[in-house]
Amino acid sequence: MPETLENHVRQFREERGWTQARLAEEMGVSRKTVNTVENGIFSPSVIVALKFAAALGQPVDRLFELVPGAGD
Amino acid sequence: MSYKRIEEFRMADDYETAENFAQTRAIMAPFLGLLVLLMQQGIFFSWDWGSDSLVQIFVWLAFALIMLGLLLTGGGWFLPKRARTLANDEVTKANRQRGITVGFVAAMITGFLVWAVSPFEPLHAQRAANIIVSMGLGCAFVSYGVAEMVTNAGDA
Repeated sequence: MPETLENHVRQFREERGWTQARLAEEMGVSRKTVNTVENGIFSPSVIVALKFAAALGQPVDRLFELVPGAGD
Repeated sequence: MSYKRIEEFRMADDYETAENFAQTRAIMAPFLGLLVLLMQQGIFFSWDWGSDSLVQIFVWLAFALIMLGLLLTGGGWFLPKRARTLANDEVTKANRQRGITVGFVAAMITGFLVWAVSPFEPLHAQRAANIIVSMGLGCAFVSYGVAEMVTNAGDA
């Protein structure tokens, strides 16, 4: 089974007390981008992942991780 | 009011403009797709296919080109540059790509069917092109719009 991409964006965003809209403004992207990435609907490009990391002050590998699929 | 404050207001405006535009576009796109498909059915029977009327040729070409331009660019041609960039974010581009893929496959399958049917029911080239283009554009807009509506629905 292929790996899945999990993220902890919501956790770090809520730690800062930011709304999705606030995080989107900090990153310079749309709120839809933040929302779809947080909910695992959309896997971001490296550029957007780096923007998340910069805005939340966390390394990329703390925000995103590959989780092995069932059966691996 | 300081320049920095004005700049902050302008940026907030761009976010709001982009979000409003994206939501309107998500609602409009499937209807635009259905409009294209319905118009195809409407003009299929009423147009004088093969006519050399320049008006008819120009109207059809202009409509098809505008629809194709909207599909490929996402519209918002008159929005401020920043709002347009925000409205055409990565998610939207991925949705649009999916719509274009669906439209391409629909156009191909329609082309195959037109080719298979034409020996038994001869079609004028204009009529065949209209069916193929309309199916491609219509299905692309419906798919794109539905994907946009799904990704636009989210908690704030």
